[in-house]
Amino acid sequence: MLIELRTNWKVLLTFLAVVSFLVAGMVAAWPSMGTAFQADALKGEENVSVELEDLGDTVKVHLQWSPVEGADNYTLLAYPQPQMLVPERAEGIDTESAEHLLEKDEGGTPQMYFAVVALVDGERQLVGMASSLERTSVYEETFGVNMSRVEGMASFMWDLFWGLLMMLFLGYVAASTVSRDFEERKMDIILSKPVSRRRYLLEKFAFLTAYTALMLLVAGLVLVGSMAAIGELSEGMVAPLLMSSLLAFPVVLLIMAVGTLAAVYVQDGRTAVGLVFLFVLLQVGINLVASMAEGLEHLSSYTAMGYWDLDAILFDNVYSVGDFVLIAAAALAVLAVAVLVFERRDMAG
Amino acid sequence: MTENGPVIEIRGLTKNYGDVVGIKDLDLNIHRGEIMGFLGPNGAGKTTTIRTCLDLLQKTSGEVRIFGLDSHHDSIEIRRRIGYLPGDFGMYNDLPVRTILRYLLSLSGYEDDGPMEELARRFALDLDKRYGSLSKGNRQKAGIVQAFMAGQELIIMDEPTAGLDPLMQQEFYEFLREERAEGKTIFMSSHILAEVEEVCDRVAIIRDAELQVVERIDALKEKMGKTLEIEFDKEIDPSVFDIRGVEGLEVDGRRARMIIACDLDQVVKRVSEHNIVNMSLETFSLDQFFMTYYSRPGGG
Ligand SMILES: Nc1ncnc2c1ncn2[C@@H]1O[C@H](COP(=O)(O)OP(=O)(O)OP(=O)(O)O)[C@@H](O)[C@H]1O
Ligand SMILES: [Mg+2]
Repeated sequence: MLIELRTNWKVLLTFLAVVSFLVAGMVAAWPSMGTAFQADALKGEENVSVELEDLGDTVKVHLQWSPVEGADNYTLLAYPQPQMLVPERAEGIDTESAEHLLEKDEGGTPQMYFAVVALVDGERQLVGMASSLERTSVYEETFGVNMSRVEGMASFMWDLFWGLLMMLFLGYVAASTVSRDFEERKMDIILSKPVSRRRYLLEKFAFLTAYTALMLLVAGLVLVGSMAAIGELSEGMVAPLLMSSLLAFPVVLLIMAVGTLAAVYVQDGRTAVGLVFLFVLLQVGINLVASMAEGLEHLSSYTAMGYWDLDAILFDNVYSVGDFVLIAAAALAVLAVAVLVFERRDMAG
Repeated sequence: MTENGPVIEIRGLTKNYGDVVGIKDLDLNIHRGEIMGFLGPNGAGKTTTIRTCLDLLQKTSGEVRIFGLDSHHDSIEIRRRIGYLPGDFGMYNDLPVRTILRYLLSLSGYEDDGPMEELARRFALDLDKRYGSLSKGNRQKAGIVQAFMAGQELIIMDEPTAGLDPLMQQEFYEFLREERAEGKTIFMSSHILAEVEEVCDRVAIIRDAELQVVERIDALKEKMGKTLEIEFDKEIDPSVFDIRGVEGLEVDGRRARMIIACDLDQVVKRVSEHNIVNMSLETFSLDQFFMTYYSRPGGG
């Protein structure tokens, strides 16, 4: 196992340094970036408060607004989009509150925008706007992640950046750790020693597992550390952040098992690395489509990464032990196939 | 299996690479304490045979037993007792040779690195250098050291002296003789005829994936010593040469050609009853004998 570390440590340190730097840098930039991900404020929304009352098939929206001096009465406008509000029946309201009944649709409470207009000295004047649902940013509507919260930042970090880079890197390490021994026929000498092919491969995989554990530990710590550094780390965040890292473990192990299998099957470094990259990028692609295209969400359950449920752990602090075990078992199954292939194949000459 | 039987016993070994025949129906025994040379033109199947013995290749059919054990099923046990020098190999370029050799020693489960240091000294190999910085000959030495450093009783080598300078080659031959004296068994392929002649006890020659001849070197030397060619004044009856020790007889009318593996005097006395027009005695070297397997289709 030491021989792998001796030939790998420079690459490992360089990778860790580069990624830590990038992650820390992105986190540091987040306070100014975060606001860009917030939804645009509705005009005068601070003047109007909204409360929902669930009545089964319908939802009653209670609206209340701050009084406007000299107002004769108020008008309530409503429309599903914020741009084209039309006059509501409720015209000439004398109090500072109104109710509005909404039919539920398949998504529950429908989106509805309201505007309260006051009549002052014969002139109409906007009091404020409100929405039946909490507003979401365009980014959140597309990817389902609220980037204006620090958890969203962590999720984004994992999803598109740290996670992808790390999976590609570890896939590369897995494929090349074994296939490097095929290059220049190192394997001839190694396998002339009393080492079974199974033991050889399992030892390589043990090394890869340790390598993964180290990488994920560093990843978790860098996220926690850099968020603490910008003062965005609440106490309750530490466990979910570290957990989000741990949950990647079986997914990465599966990628490493695939890399190992590719290496013993093709016995050629470049091809093996190419295959494992394909495996990773295909999953990323499928998950991207699944998260963006409506009705295709189920696609992500066909990929290992789909079981790395970041938002569940980061936003709600829940995770599935079953999923964890499932992917870990898949990794071991692929590794077992790699051992069988390795035991049966001629060593490339 | 008995300790007196062959160390390597190859029976009907065939290895095909898809449609390409690597080695066909090979029978070969290698005995304890001997140095067996393995000769044959490029692509004859030497490396294929060797790598099959080490279970690096799966054989197509036949059987290989080493120390009486099955080369595939008992491969680990066999490899505990074998040192192997591949014909073409690499090591980790960015590590010092000592680190690599220690790693290989640990794979053998062998603790003592004394023999490794000793061998490196003997072959003037600097263990502190990175493997990647070594010249071809020095890399070859690293390969030699790793094959012998765990004191294995059987050493299999594929072209062991490739890249060694003449002085080192001689040092290596001397070393092989010492190893043999200690009871080691050595099986080595080679393209250097003089090397086989100098260090090997026996030689096996293959060609086009088939075994051509297995013979003791000293017997070959004796046999190959003299080729007699006689021209008579009239057609000669081949029965004239019905003498023990006359081999490879070719009679073509008035001409006869044979290899003399007995006392020449016997032959001369017998033919003196006939009229001799011309007679030549050629001293045939082992080199020339080997060469026939490289040049003539079908070999000897
Ligand atoms: N991996 C392989 N795939 C297909 N054919 C192969 C493979 N390895 C060897 N061969 C073929 O098997 C035959 C025997 O090759 P082998 O390498 O055993 O010869 P050799 O006697 O060692 O030759 P050389 O003296 O050149 O080392 C050749 O025809 C070769 O082309
Ligand atoms: Mg060869």
